[in-house]
Parts: sequence; structure tokens; C-alpha cells
Amino acid sequence: MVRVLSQETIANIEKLFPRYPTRMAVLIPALHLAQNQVGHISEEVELDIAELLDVPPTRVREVATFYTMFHTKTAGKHTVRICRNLSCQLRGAEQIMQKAKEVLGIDFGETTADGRITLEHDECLAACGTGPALWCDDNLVENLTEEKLEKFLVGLK
Amino acid sequence: MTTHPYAPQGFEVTLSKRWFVAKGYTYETYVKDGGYEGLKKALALEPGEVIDTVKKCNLRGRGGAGFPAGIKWSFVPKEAEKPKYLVVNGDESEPGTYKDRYVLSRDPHMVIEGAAIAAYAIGAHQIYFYLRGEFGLPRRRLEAAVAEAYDKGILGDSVLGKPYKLNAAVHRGAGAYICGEETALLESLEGKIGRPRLKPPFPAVVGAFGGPTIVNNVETLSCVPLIFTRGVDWFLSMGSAKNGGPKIICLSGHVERPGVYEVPNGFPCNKLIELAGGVWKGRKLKAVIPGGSSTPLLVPHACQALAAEGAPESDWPLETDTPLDFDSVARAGSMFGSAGMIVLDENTCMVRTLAILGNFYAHESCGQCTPCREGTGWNTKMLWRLERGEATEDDIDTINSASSHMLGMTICPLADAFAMPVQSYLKKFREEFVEHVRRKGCWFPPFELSPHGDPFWEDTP
Ligand SMILES: Cc1cc2nc3c(=O)[nH]c(=O)nc-3n(C[C@H](O)[C@H](O)[C@H](O)COP(=O)(O)O)c2cc1C
Ligand code: SF4
Ligand code: FES
Repeated sequence: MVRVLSQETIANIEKLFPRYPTRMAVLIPALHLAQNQVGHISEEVELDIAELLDVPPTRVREVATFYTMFHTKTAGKHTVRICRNLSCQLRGAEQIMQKAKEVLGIDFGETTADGRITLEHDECLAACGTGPALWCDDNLVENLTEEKLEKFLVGLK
Repeated sequence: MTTHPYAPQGFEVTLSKRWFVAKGYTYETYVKDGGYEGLKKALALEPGEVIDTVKKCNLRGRGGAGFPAGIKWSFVPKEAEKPKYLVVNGDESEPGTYKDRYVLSRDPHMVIEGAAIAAYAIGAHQIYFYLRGEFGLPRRRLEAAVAEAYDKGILGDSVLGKPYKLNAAVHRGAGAYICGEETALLESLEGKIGRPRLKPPFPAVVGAFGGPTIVNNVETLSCVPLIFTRGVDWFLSMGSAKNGGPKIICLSGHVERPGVYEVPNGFPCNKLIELAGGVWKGRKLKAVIPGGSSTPLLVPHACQALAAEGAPESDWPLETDTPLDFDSVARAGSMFGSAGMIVLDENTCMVRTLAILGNFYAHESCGQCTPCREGTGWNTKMLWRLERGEATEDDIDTINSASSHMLGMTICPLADAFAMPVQSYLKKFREEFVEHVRRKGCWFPPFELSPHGDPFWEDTP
């Protein structure tokens, strides 16, 4: 019995089965697909995936909590992750993080009241030569200045 | 001959050649440029001959450990009950390292070709590209290139007409540095949390899904086609016999012109900084992190280990003059690791620098070994206290001894990866740590907001 996953998401998950010798190997890709649809990994999502992949729900939960990219609670429409690692810091990431808090009126780990943006830290994004950098909706925004950051955040609809 | 602004003058670039070409990532460009010729040549050889050729080049793994690829491949048993796998490590998450990103997004066919040669050499019929979750453009470009490769008969039921079944899939991670460690990566590929495995058995014998598996870094595999098109002698002509081939090095931090530079192995560190326009704003060099955040510092002080035997002290080169290859950097007291080179200017606070790295290691510890779980967190807390002026001189000694108790005590090297920098920073800048106690906090200016700059290195979707 499927609870929340759409037919499309299920089909996309099933398409991946032939790529691996086990169904469990599809777990992380499946969590990505589910999160794209639902926005976060809810209990219902966990149960749906557990059934599809024939793994215990506790296993799904364990994996969803271990990897930082999965939200286990509701999150904003966009998650903005700002790198706070060394190369970005050497080029002023601290100031960028302050500015982000100021523009959004929230702290890291929080979501704006309108549900638009969740703000997170990230560790090195492998964009060290173009830092300060952030990652949002599967794309980088690089060489951040305060103006560039503000324009980007305000532009996220 | 191709060269570009991120290479020494007159040096022919091969690894980063197509990064500078419009649509350099397509099959068409790649093949026009002689792409997949290396695979053709390799397929004409017996698998054992392919391994021998790579062994002769002593191609050192570019992912961090520098282990020779050919030797690793030869550990795979010829006969195996379970299927064999070739896994490409595209997790790229050692802070300061951002080279594999461009291989994947600007020249994905090169790594596909290298992976196909490696798979054929070890007898694997399945390739997995494990890419860190945050790789957006690199993943989309690689997926498109894999589809092209199927289309053009490089992957599928035969490889360039030779009946050899070869499949490839791109697997997306989900944000965990530890999954760059090869056994954690395999756990993650199998759908589990990324906890490193105890070795032995080594992956070459028991790896993915219980089958013999070779894990190689993206750049390592990109070097492989060149070995077959240009030959062993060409490869060895760059650098020394044990450290040959072209090398891409990521420069970030306080240099005028950050970017990924391609140089011959053994290119001197100080010359590379010069090539990158020198330390920014005309400031003095304080230290270099040569191979990613886990590697000990090189400082501009005379280094006996690098000098010719019996040379007088006045002739000793500086640590920061070391040739950049695995063995030379090791001689100078550090590691070349993943070639993620971070340059620190004279205004950089070493306590703060180390504390920032501490945040990272404490966050990324998978938690299964007590010295790592506790040690990374505790040391980091102490470092921030020191930075705020809340620590005593005794605390500095405690940090030193606590980090030494992390060394060599754990399942994987992540604990060492933090303990080594702690020891190195303390040894080389002890006075600065003590001064934080005396002055009750940090007196260095905050890091200035000044982006690295060159839009050439940005992702262009
Ligand atoms: C904590 C840790 C993180 C690592 N991260 C990476 C990584 O992001 N990419 C990589 O290629 N190798 C990484 N490695 C090294 C791999 O374990 C492995 O040695 C490498 O992928 C082998 O490929 P190579 O021989 O071609 O270098 C890491 C190792 C450790 C201990
Ligand atoms: S050393 Fe740290 S990261 Fe490595 S296995 Fe142990 S706890 Fe996990
Ligand atoms: S340190 Fe920010 S991307 Fe690497």
C-alpha cells in the first residue's frame, strides 16, 4: 500500500533496480527522488520506501538521518547551504553567513516564516577556488559578495 | 601544442586541455581530439598487459594516499565467484580540493575512458561513478556523457566492437565527507550509512556487494588514457620515476589568482605560488597547506630534509620550496594528499584556522571509534576557547597530548586527518597559541570578504 509517493516517483525508483545487484543499493537514490517530490523524508515516505525496496523501515530511517542532505523534518521550499570551511572563510564566508541571517531574519537551521527558505551551513562544497560559495536547488552560487547573496536570496521564489 | 593561463609557460597541458574549449565536454569534441584512442589500444592488449603498462608508469593514486594504481589492480583475483566492480571515487570532499569537479563537468569522457580501461584490466563488467550529493553540474554532465557513451558503442554489450559487456551507472551520494574513504563509500553505495569497514579484507578482494572491487579517484583514471596514447616514457618524463605524469593542483586562499593549475609532477611549490600571482595584496607568506586540510603545514623556513647531503645551512631550501610530488612533500614533513593547496598570508590566525577545520572533522566523524568521536569534538571546543581567550597554557599541552592519542588508534584515517594538522600547527606556531592565552584572545583581523574571483572557474549551467 503506497502512502505518499506518486506513481511517477515510484516508476523512477523502479527504473533504478536493474543498475544494482541488490534493491537496498537504491536506497539513497530513492530518498533523493522521494525528497524531490515530498520535500522531506516523513514517516510515510520511510514506510513507502521500505516496502518498495524490501528493507526494514528502521534501516531507511537510519540512512535518512545519517546523510545531511536529507530533511527528516519539514523544510523550506529551497534549502540554502553556505560553506563555512577554510578556503571560503579565508575569503570572508563569515561575513556572508551574517548577511544571510540578516536578509532572511533567521538563524542557521531555521526556516523563514513563509516556508520559502531553510538556511544551513555546509562543509566544503568542492568550490574552494570560487568561494565564498553556497549550494541551492542542485546548483552553486559562487564568488559571493554581500550584494550577490542578497540578490540571490531575494530572487528565490 | 595546447597550453593555458593556469599552467607553466610552454608546458603542454593534457589533463585540463578541454576545460578551456567551448563544449569540451561532448563526445564530439573528445573524439575529434583523439578521445577513446587509448581505450582502443588497451583493448588490443591482454588485461594483464594493460595492468603491466600502468605499473610501469607507477601512476600514483590522486585521491589522497598515492598508492600505485597498477599494483592495486593486480590485487584483484583473476577468478572470482562474485562479479567484480570498478568504482570511481567522485566524492571530492577534502577541504581545499576542487579538481575532480572540472574533470567531471568539463571533460567527463576522459574519466569514462579511463574507467573503461581499468574495468577491462581487472575484468569488471560494471562501473559505478560515486559522486558527492552536491555535485549538480558535474553529475548532469557525466550522466549525459555516459548516455553518449552507450550511444556510441563504448558502453553496452560490446566495447568499441570488442565483445565485452560493460555497464556504467552514476550514483549520487547525500552529503557525508566520510563517504570519500573507500570502504565507507562502498557501504554507502550498498545503501547503508557511511561507516568505514575494518581492513583487511581489502576492497580488491571483498568490495562492493561482496565482489572484488577497485576504487580509484577521478583524476587517477583520467590519467589512464594518456598512458596508452602517449606512452610510458612520456608519462615518466614528467617528474621522477616514482612520481610521474601530469598533475592538477587546486589553489585557494590567499593567492592573487586562485584556480586549478596543471603542472608536471615535482613542480616546486614556491614556483606554483608565483605562477598564481604570488601571495595576495603583496603580503608575506605564512604557511601552505599542501594537500588538503588534513595535511601538515609547510612554512617558509629552511628545511634540512630537502637539502643535498652535506649542504651548508645557508643553502637549504625552504619547506615551501619543495617539489610537489608525494615523496618530496613527505620528505618536507607533510603530504601531497589530494593536491588541495591552501595558501595562508601573514594576517592569518593559526588558532582560528585550526578551529575551523576542527568544526569540520567533528561534524564529519562517523562516530564508531571513541578516540575520533570524542577527540575531534573536544579538541575543537578547546581551540575555540583558546581563540576567545578562555584557555590556559596547560590547555595547549592537553590539546597536544589529546590529539596524539588519536593517532593510529582508529578504523579509518579520519581521526589522524585531524590529529596531524593539530600537531603540526602546534609545533610550528606554538608561540602564537601561547600568545592567545597571554593576550586573552585573538588579535588578528577578521578574514576579509573578498571572493576568490575568476568567473572562469564557476559552474556555467
Ligand atoms: C576520510 C577520508 C576521505 C577521503 N576522501 C576521498 C575523496 O573525497 N576522494 C577520493 O578520491 N579519495 C578520498 N579518500 C581516499 C580513498 O579512501 C581512496 O584511497 C581513493 O579513492 C583511492 O583512489 P586512488 O588510489 O586513485 O587515489 C579519502 C580517504 C579518507 C580516509
Ligand atoms: S576514525 Fe572516525 S570517521 Fe573513521 S571510522 Fe572511526 S569514528 Fe568513523
Ligand atoms: S572551503 Fe568552501 S567550497 Fe571548499
